[in-house]
Amino acid sequence: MKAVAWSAALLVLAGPACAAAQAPAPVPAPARAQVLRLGVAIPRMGEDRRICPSPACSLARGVELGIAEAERVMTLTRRRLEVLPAASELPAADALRRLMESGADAVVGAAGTADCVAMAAAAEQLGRPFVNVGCRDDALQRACRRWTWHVEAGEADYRSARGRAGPVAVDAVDVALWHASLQRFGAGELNQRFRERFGAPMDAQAWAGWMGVKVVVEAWLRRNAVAAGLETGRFDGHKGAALAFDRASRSLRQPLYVVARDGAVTEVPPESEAERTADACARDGAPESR
Amino acid sequence: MSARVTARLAARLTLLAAAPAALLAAPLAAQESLILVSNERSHDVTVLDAGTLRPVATIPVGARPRGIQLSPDGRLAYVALSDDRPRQEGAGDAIAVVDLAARRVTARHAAGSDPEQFALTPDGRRLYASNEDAGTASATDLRTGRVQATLVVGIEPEGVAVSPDGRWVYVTAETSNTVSVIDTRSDEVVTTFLVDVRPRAAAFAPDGRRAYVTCEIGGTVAVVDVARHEVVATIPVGDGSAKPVGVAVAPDGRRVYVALGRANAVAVIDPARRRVVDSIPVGRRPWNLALSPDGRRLYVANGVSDDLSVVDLATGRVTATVKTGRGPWGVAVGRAGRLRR
Repeated sequence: MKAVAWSAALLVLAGPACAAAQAPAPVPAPARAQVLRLGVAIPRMGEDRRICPSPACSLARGVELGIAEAERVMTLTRRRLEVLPAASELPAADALRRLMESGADAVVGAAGTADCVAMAAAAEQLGRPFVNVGCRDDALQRACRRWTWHVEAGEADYRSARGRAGPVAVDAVDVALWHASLQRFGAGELNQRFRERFGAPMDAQAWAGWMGVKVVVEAWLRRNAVAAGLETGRFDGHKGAALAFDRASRSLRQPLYVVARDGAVTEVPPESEAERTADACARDGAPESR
Repeated sequence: MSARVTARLAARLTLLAAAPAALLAAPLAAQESLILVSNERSHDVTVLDAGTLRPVATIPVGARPRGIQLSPDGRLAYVALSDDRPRQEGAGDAIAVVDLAARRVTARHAAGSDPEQFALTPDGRRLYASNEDAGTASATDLRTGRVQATLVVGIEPEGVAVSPDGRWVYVTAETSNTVSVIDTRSDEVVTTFLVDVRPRAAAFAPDGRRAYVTCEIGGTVAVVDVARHEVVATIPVGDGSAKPVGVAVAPDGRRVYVALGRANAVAVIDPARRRVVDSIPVGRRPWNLALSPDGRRLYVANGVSDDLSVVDLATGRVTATVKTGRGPWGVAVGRAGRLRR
């Protein structure tokens, strides 16, 4: 994600080192088993989503659909979803911090790379889940932080998918998390629900936003704790397989889609477990081999 | 399995217990002589003679048929129809009533938008259907043909099953991974619980104490305690390629049969041991299945190979494969009723 309203925040936050220097501020566990408080920290959440001029707006649309569907499930299960929007005037990490300190059980968020790193660091300090739905940066994705989960794939994942796509990669114009032409396993229905709501196709950013909300809500419903649910849960992203987060990197293991110049879409499954474990976490900071 | 079928089975078992060998060897055709298959791509219903397995009629229904059920008296078939305009109720969306004697559609009942699966109450008076696009379930009074209630259920509702006593209706929802429970006395959703990923079909055990819910993407079957509406076990099915879809419970409740979609097989579950005890290869992409009333044979609609597998459950083998229309989806089995030959 490149369109960021919080980019000024980068000037005052220096990532994990800076975050580590601040005093931990443990947040008391909420005693609200019937209420899930979901923080949303994505840029430009307030812009006019009827015209949706940016990828961030598309992400916001996905989050909006995710929230609408989650509210329905919560009502059916006699629970309640409380959505806490981030304070738009604050730098991203500060906004996330405020959300968590005010009781958010988890924050779904995205921003520019540095902001994402800062948000992940803040989540680490506060011990609350941050679900990244828009940052591809490999350093962030491979930091393997305890409290950061990634619905967005890393740049390495995109490169890998292109590399493993076979002959279709020659004509590839895009590699994406999602495509509006997908039909199977409920994908067509999801695309249709999105199109009906917004009058536009569901793109990859929108899917990430929708999925970010979905995994948090389902994790909480199943385990009554978001983190525990994300660690053990299996989720349906309408990609034809149960999706789960990698234990080490906390990245969602999922197919990606290679889009050819003629519009053909080819699914590329995630790398095998054996392929991934070698360098899923760049704990030593050394450059990756791939 | 309805109370009607359970009662019929009990009566038959009583008869068999005292029957001479000649009667035991008698063909079943007279007792279970109809097999109906809905064909979603050829927009018709194939009617087979269960004894000979020969087609006796192909009944056009005019739209995309999926769920199919027989009335308790065997005279009528109900078929869920949907058109090609998703997310809005169109002229093609209906529950068609097929008079099996006349071999034609004689009525169409409203059942909300895009009805897919449905179930009849044991008394045959009401029909509950899932409306996938609208995210609702509809209750239709079959005497008047009018929708009496439209209930909000989970997102992308799919499977519908009625408990043998007619009290509860389970409606699965594929996106929200939920099962909503409708109390038929009040026509209200009284609770909703989560199951594994992407639930499809549901079926009650004949005694009504357990229900089974297939979870396609999870590759599992949820075992539900009906008294509490809670999942008490989750049974893994297959090797990961299996996509559990249709489900049927044996009349004695001792086996649960699950169509496995792209695995091209049917899993046989022992519910007491909560594990798969056999896997029966069938045609390509089995969607749904139905048992003969005596539980000896299983009929499996294979959506891609355009045929019906007939499984002898004593041997666990396919004994016949019968051509159907295009895209067979649902199966119903029953007595001949008044079918003209």
